[in-house]
Amino acid sequence: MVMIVNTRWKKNVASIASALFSFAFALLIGAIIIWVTGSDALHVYGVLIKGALGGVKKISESLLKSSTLLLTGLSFTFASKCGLINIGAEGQLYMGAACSTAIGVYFGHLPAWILIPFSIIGGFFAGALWGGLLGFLKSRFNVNEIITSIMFNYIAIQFVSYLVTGPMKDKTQTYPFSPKISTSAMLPILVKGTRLHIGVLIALFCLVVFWFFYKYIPSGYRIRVVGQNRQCAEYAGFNVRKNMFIVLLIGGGFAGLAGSLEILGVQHRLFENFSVGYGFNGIAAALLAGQSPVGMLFTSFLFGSLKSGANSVQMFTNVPAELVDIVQGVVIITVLMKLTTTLPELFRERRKKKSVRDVANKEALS
Amino acid sequence: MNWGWVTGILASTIRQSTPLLFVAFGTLFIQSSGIMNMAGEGFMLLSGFIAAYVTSITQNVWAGMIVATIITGIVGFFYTFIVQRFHVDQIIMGLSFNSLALGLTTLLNRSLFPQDTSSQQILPEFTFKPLGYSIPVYLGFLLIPLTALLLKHTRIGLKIRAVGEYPLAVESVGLDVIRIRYIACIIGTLLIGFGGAFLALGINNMFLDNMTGGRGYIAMTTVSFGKYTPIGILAAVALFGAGDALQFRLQVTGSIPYQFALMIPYAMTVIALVLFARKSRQPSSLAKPYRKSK
Repeated sequence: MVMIVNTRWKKNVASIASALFSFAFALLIGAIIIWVTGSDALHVYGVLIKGALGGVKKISESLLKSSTLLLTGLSFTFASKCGLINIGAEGQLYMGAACSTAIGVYFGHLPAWILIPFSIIGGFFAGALWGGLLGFLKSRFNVNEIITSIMFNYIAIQFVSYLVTGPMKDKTQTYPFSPKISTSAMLPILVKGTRLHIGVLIALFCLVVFWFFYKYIPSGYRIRVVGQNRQCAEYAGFNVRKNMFIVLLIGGGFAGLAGSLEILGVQHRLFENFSVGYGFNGIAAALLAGQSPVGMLFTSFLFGSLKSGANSVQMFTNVPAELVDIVQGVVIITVLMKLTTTLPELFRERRKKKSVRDVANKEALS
Repeated sequence: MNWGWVTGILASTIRQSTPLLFVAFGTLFIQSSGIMNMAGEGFMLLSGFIAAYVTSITQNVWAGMIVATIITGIVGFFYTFIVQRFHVDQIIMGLSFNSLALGLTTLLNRSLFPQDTSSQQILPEFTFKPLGYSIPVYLGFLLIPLTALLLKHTRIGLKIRAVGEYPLAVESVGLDVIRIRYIACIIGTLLIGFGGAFLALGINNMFLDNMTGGRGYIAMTTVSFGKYTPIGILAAVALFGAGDALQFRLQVTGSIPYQFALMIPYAMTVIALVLFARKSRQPSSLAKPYRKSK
């Protein structure tokens, strides 16, 4: 028993070390790129850290971004447990946001205690619908869910752009905005003087639901079996297609919720491109966490603060916020390469080859 | 009936198809060898940016095209190195590479090119245009018989397809699976690089942030839609090129909201996947990392 705990603990430490190493490596690459473009990397990173964690207000902004990433990451991880790769979080987020905005604007006369749950649930369902459509195509026609989900993102983004320039446009404004949602739809603020709203708690609650579902609920177990061995699941009589549909449906709901909370809690109105890459940032955080709920908490916060820090960077230096995309790409690639385990292996192999060659040479000489 | 409209669409189809054609054939080479190419999007962006940058410095389109193609090939080599040496998940690797390329090109674009649109640099265009199309368009058409010949009737083509189907058999006759895959990937990324460069120089006349807008993924779809045959891929690319041309046309005429016009290529991709998902044949060893047997 002690042994098991010990190896498990070691494995956790190793994966955390590998994640931290990848992150440090990515920051180094980022620094080189910043330096190449002619800015002072140390100064930029200083601005980034200050923008992410300098003071209550900044930390609350980081937490807000983290909670959005947590939910879009859940959209990915929920499906990945079933062996699917769902890149559709971005589109689902837009759909959720659009639906919540519509409810918040057109049902504005309702009291807050009805309107808030109503618009949150609406956002969840809109995201679930968009994810469920993906699930339907996957389970019914067995289409490649990766490409389809990416295409759905582009379609959803265009759809929202249509809404805010056409039917949902605020006629009093020149810019393509939706009208502001009713004040009774706005989420209550947790900490005075910041924008930190109760959505953060909802995101945490979703993480707990995710953990509980896969740990203790039989259908969660079935989905895990489908993900790990499809043939085995079919042999055991599980409905593989139904499970695939369900994970994409619920995953879509989580991402829809992310969009909903972003509108109801932060933006208060819908506009084009309001999600600055939340979809793939969340997926990157989820990948770094490797399906672990606790890990997701940390990686979402890491990427969330990075993202909120990058906004300050864009504001105060010449470096655009896309720095985050670079760091995120390098992090995932280095994690995939498993440098902390593969590099020593490669060296060992090389040494082994060399020693074999040395022995052969010696024998040849003698 | 006004035929000018039809010939306009046709000419636009041919132009729009060319970058897609190069990327699709590049993807064909890579995927035939058994390596999944999710990174077409990233390679296109990278090469498009380099092409625009080099052209703006040298004021010569071909310098931009060639430098961008070669650098993309070199990046493709390192990409393949990571894929083969570290046995990474090829799908996630491709997606992360796309994120990296998007961030990198956007960052460089904003810091190297002047950003206010009024002073946006105008790049030189292709000047030599027999029958109204620039040379890369003709090269694109030349590519089809060449690829068919190379993959079906030459030794290296057969080797590439063999490592995609059954690498163990290839190794058992004493050939180097890893090396053959490197060759296929470098040919493939060179083609993708050329396509990306043409998208920037021949179609957009500049580099725009995220200008590929999913074309890398669409090219990937045309390969499976075209069932890994050059003619099939040509047909698929032409179909998507026509969709693209139609989309521009509809945007101009304003008969439907432009956002719905912009959705056309993406919706077409989904429909193509739904209609042909079950019938697609792909190399048996696609996306499976290969480890040399000891």
